[in-house]
Formats: sequence, structure tokens, C-alpha cells
Amino acid sequence: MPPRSGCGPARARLLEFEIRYHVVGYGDTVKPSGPSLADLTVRDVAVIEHVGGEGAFRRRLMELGLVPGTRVELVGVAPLGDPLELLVRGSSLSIRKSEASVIRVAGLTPTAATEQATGRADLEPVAARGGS
Amino acid sequence: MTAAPALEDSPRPAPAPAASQPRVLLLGNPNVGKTSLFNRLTGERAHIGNYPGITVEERWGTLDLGGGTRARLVDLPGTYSLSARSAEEQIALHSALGLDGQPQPDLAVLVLDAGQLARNLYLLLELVELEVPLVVAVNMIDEASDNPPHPAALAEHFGVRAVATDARRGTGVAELRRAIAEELRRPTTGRVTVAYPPALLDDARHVAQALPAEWKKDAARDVSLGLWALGSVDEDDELVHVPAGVRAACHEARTRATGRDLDEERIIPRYAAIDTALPKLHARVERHPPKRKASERVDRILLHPVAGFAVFLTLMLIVFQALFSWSDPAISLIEDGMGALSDLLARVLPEGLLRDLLIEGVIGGVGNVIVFLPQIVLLFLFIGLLEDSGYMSRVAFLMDRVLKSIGLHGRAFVPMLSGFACAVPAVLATRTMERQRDRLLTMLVIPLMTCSARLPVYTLVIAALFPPSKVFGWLPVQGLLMVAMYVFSIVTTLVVALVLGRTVVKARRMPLILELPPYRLPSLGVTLRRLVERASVFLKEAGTVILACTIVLWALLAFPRQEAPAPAASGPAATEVRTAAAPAIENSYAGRLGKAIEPVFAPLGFDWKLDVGIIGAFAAREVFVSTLGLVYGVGDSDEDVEPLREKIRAETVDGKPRYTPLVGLSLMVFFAIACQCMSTLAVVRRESKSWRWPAFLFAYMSVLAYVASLVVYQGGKLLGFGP
Repeated sequence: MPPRSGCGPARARLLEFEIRYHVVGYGDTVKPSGPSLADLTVRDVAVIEHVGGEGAFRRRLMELGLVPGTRVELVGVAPLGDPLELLVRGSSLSIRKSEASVIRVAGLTPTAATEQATGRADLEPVAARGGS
Repeated sequence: MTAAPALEDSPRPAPAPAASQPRVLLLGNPNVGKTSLFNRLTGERAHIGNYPGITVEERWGTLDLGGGTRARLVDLPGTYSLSARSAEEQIALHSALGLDGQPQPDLAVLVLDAGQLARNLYLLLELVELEVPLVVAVNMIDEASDNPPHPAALAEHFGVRAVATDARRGTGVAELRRAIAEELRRPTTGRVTVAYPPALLDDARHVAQALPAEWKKDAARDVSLGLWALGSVDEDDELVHVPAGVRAACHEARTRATGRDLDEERIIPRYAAIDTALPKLHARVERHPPKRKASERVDRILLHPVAGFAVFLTLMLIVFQALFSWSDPAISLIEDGMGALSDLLARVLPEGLLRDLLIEGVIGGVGNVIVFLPQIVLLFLFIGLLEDSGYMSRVAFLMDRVLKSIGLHGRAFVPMLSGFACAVPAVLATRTMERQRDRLLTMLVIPLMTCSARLPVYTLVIAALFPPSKVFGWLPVQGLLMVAMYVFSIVTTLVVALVLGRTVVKARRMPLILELPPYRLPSLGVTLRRLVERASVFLKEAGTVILACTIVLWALLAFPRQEAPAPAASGPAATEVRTAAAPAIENSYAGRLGKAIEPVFAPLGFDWKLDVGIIGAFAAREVFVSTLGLVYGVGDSDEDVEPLREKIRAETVDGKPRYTPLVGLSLMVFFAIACQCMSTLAVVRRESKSWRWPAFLFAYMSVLAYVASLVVYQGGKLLGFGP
């Protein structure tokens, strides 16, 4: 489990609020924040760093395998812009942008779809891309 | 934690007497082919019952294990994990452990999707931790052919019996049956090692101490149940029968755990355990397996912004056309058959109360029920094919953005579209949605869509009261009105969904989870079986209510009896009441009721005659036309029959026409909104498992209809449009 800094429920709620209403830019005052799943572009692969949200909502996302350390690929976006199609642990899963925006990701590797990655040495932190 | 070093098989007590067959549960994630496997294992028709108090159906069938041994196979709703937030989700845990009135299961068959093992194994871990005796079916093994998991390795790793199956072709089913039989003789629970943080285990032990006696088993399972409670019980869950002590202990543990993240402490180690296991189960290890090639290629077209929508619209048009037109011959056949039957009875039986009751009450009522079958069958045929092929998930994916804005999600699209044909099959189709709240909200707005039964009413009113003139010299008023009624109904539906979704059926924020399964060839067998099941449930449970209502309505219109002999009934019997002659109806209970409520409806511009029509229309909206025909003594009336239109037009009050276009508009608005359909109410009761929701549906739609008509009529009068 990767180390992470102070992300209790209250923190997560604040982060979610900030993301939703664009109160702050990423990396502004919220130090441990990075891009979220909603910021990926199609074919990006990223590693989940923290799942935000609360209670049963958050639990459900994590129980589906969206836990810190998991590689996720953004396979596609629905023609009307929402929901997103993700590839997680070999299965296709769709969640809405609003849900994806509470899942913070750590590293992005573009077009890794064909690459049969065996490790995660290729991951490097990527600068924030701004709101969705 | 090691849950039960459980391979020291403790033989169960002697096989139960024949009366109580062993109970075998069928569990698994959604979309893993559980239903196909259930059909393969049981072979015969499933029995459908209900869990007490909730809307989940209990499906079970008889599992023949050979040698005269039979077991009851119970098909549980698909679930990703055992943690629960609602009473509906709690069923999985209660069934697996035999808690809260559920019988103790003898065995659980866990169905895994061989292609999606990682996510599927989560449920396996939970079941093993809770010491549920297991047989694992690694299903859809054919689809994972490039890198299939080895059942033997899985069995070895988790200490459970595992069989590779392909339920569609029937491969491995015999072996699974043998495994079940053997496991029932010597049940084993698996073993699994998950490295939970010690602090979390302390919390779980704390909760375990608060477990009531009937929830306790041994120390290891109690701790697992404590973990379940920590992951399910919180301040705003909707669980039932969670002992207060457990609730308090969970709350206490949570309060103590400030700075810690109990959910991460529980879920992350489980996925770590899965990640450790996976390399042993597969020949080749892929940290990031790609999407299945064939499906990806198809999706490139079917989810394309242009091509995808073109295919989607075409398919939906076919579904809609089928419901609207293809069902017509079958419906006519049923109506003609019922008509012929009542003609026959009319000839054979002596005149009198019994004959009328049989012809108009019973045959009419039965006709009212089975007249829905063609549409139900067609709709479920399409839904079955769409679901089975994997396209239904794509429909939800494409349309989610639109439905999200009214508080629903993509899966509501097909039921809502069906609502334009008929609300009854549409309400039944809400079963394709997993969450109870979404189903309820969809059910509550579907009856607002312009169903085909409203069309005869609109046609009559428009033809009778609106002269065929043109607007701007070219737009026909009559056609324009019809389009306007459709637009009005769509807008009303959207607004009401928005309002109800934020008030009456408010949702806690839960993620929408949509799987896009690989495309598969739909199996006609599974589809047909589901179709027969749904149709028979409708006939049994909604049909009886509809029949009873028809008889009551018949009685309202036929009593008190008149001296004058009634003309013989003829033609389609479905819902039509026509024995009583024109003056008779005025004295009937319905007539008296119509007169009694006249003052109530007067502000809408209706007189008692329209009121009687509205009462009659409760059987089904189109009955309005025939009831009005009775009131005017036109006899065998249809919307195309000229005399009724003439009579309506000719009706005068103080020398001025009684029914103005404004009255017509008010009437149409009333019909657009009011819940004039007992069959809809009957199926909503069936699907929501209580009278509360149909009562609410009826109340809100009636009030809304009244207010809208009032605004139209009084507003129109103020603007100088009416008398």
C-alpha cells in the first residue's frame, strides 16, 4: 500500500468539494492532490493513489477493485461525454465522471494499452492537467 | 488472518429427511452466467417466490443429484461483495449464513467469470472467511481460452472444490453436479490468508463480542462477521435487523479509529491477497490484461458518436415498432376470441345477472389481463436478446448522460421508451435495473408517457371538438394537437422525475456501476425461459388484481339493475360495458357517482357524463370512449363511429355548445396525466411489493392532472377562449 498523507474522510470531502467547484487549482493549496481519473485522456494508463468520497459510495468503488496501487486504463468516453469506460484488472467497468473525479491517480503512461506491462517501473508523476 | 483451517472435514449430520431437501445457494457477481448455469442445473421451470418484506424475488429450482438425491437450488441476486447498504443487498449475507429467518444453507455454489477472476475472487474471499461451504464454478472458461485459469490451482490455493464450466454449451455441468453431490456429503470450507492490520482485527474482535448468540459460530467466523459489520453498518445504512449491540460496537470502533481508514484497511489487504493468488491460477500473468479484442472492435462501431447512435436509434425504433404495431394482430386476436366467447355465452346462457357477470365481469376481466401478453412477450424477448448479447449495457452507456440529468441512469431508457406503447410491460421491464430506488423512480414516471391507450381518447376528442382547420395556412390543427400531447407528456415525465427523484425517492450518492461485458451470442433458451417466467408472474400476481377491478367496475356500471332487458353484447368483450342502455347508466352507481362528483370536476369544464366516462376509463383509458357511448346511448361505439362525435358536438347548454375546444383540451390534459389505469397500478403493486407505492402513484397523478386541467380550463376562460 503506497504511503499517503492525511486523507481522512473530512479531507476527502474537502478535496471532492474543491474538485467539483474548482475552488482551487490542483497543487494549489491542496498539497497531496494530483490529477483524478476524470482528467485522463483516452488510452492513458494511471495508478490509483487515493479513492475519495465517503461511506458506502467509496466502499463500493474500492470493492470493485479501484484500490490504491491498481492500474487503470481509460478505454473510452461515451459519445455524450459521460460515463467513462475503464479497464481495471482485465474487466471493463464504466463509472461517471463525477465518480472518477474523486479517484486520484499518481502516474500516467500514455498509450500503454498495447504494452503488456509487467511492472510499474515506467510510472512517473505527471503534472496536473487542470479540471475536467 | 486465517479463516478456519477448515479442511478437517466435519461430516454434516445425517442427510435430512426427504421433506427438507438440502439447500444449495447459487452466488456470483452480476453477468457471470449464473442464470444459464441455474437453468442447466435445474432443467425445469424455476419457482419464483418473494423474500419477506423486500422486493427481491427468490428463484429456486430442484437440483437432481442422481441416485434419488435432490437439492433445492436457490438463485441469489448477483452481487460484487457481501457488504450491504440496503435490506435488498443484505439478502446475500443472510442467505449465505442462514441468519434472520433464512434457512441455513448446506452449500453455496460460487460462479466466477474465468475472464474476470481478479474482481470475482473478492466475493470468494468473503465467503471463505465466513466459512460458507463452497463449490466454485469457473464459468465462461471458453471465453478465457487464451489464458484460462486452472480450476485445480484455484482449488489447491483456496482449499475449495473447483470445476471449470461453460454454462452456455453445458460443458462441465455434469462434473459440477457431481462436485455438489460430493460436497453435500462432506462439506468443506476453504482457507484464505489475508494480512489485515492488527488494529483492524482488534476492531473486528470488539464487534464480534457484541454479536448475538444466533450469529455466533466459532472465533474465526465471528471475527469475519465483525469485519462484515465494520464494512456495512454505518450511520446511514438501510439494513434491517442489525442487533443494536453490533450497531453500537461498530460506531464505537469507528469513533476510536480516527486517523485510520477502516475501509482501506479491510479492502486493500484483500486485493493484495488476490494479487498474490492470481499468478498461481493462470499460466501467464498479465498485470494489466487488455480488453478483449473482438469486443473492442465491435465497440469501436457501436459506441461511435455517429455510427453508434445510428445503430442504437434503429434498434430502439424496431423495439418500439414491435410493441406498437407488431403486437396488434395478437391483441386483436385475443379481443376477437374474447368477443366470440361472450357471444357464445350470450346465446347459451339465459338472460340474467349470472350471464352479465360472466360476460362483462369475468370474460371482460380475463380479456383485460391477457390483452397485455403480446406486448409483455415481445418486450421481454427484446430485452432478453439485448441483455444476453451485452448490448443493453451499451444502451445504458450511450444514454446515461441524458437520463442522469433527471436523476436516473442509462438502464432506465428501454423501460421508459416502452412506456410510449404501454405502461404495463414497461413497469415490468424496470427489472433490468439493479437498484431498488432507480426502479421505483422509473416506475413512478412511466405511467406519464403517452401510452397507446390514450390515443383513442385523444382521437375522439380532437375529431369531435376541433374543426380540421390549419394554422399559418398549412399546419393541420388536429395533427399539431396530437404532437403537442406527446411533447406535453415527455416534458411532464422529465419534470416529475426530477422532482420525485429529489424528494420522495431520494437517492444516497452511490456510484453508477456499469459493466460492459464482452459481446456474446444471445441464448434463445435463457431468453425464452425468462420470458415465460415474467409472463406467468404477471398473470398470477397482477392478473388477479386486474380481474377483480374489472368485476367491481362492471358492478358499478350495471347496478342497480334496470327492468328493461338489455341488448345482447357483441364484439370484443375486453373492458367494454354495454349491456345497460343509455338511461340505465344514469341510474347506475357509476352514474350516480358521476353526478355526485360533478361539482368537483366542474371547474375543469367536465359535466357528469364525462365524469362517468372517467370512472369507466379506470379499467383502461380507451374504455372512456365506449362508456361515453353508453352514456349517449350510441351503443356499440368505437372512436371512429360518427354518431358519438355528433352527439358530443350537438350537446348544448343554453343554446351554446356544451363542449368547447377548451373543454376538449382540458380533458386531454387530464387524460395525459391522470393515472386512469388499474392495470398499471396492479403491476406497480406487484413490482414494489406494497400498496403504498401504487397509492402514491394514483394520488400524485390525480392531483397533478386535476391541477393541470384546472389551469388549462380556468386560464383559457380568463384569456377568453371558452364559455
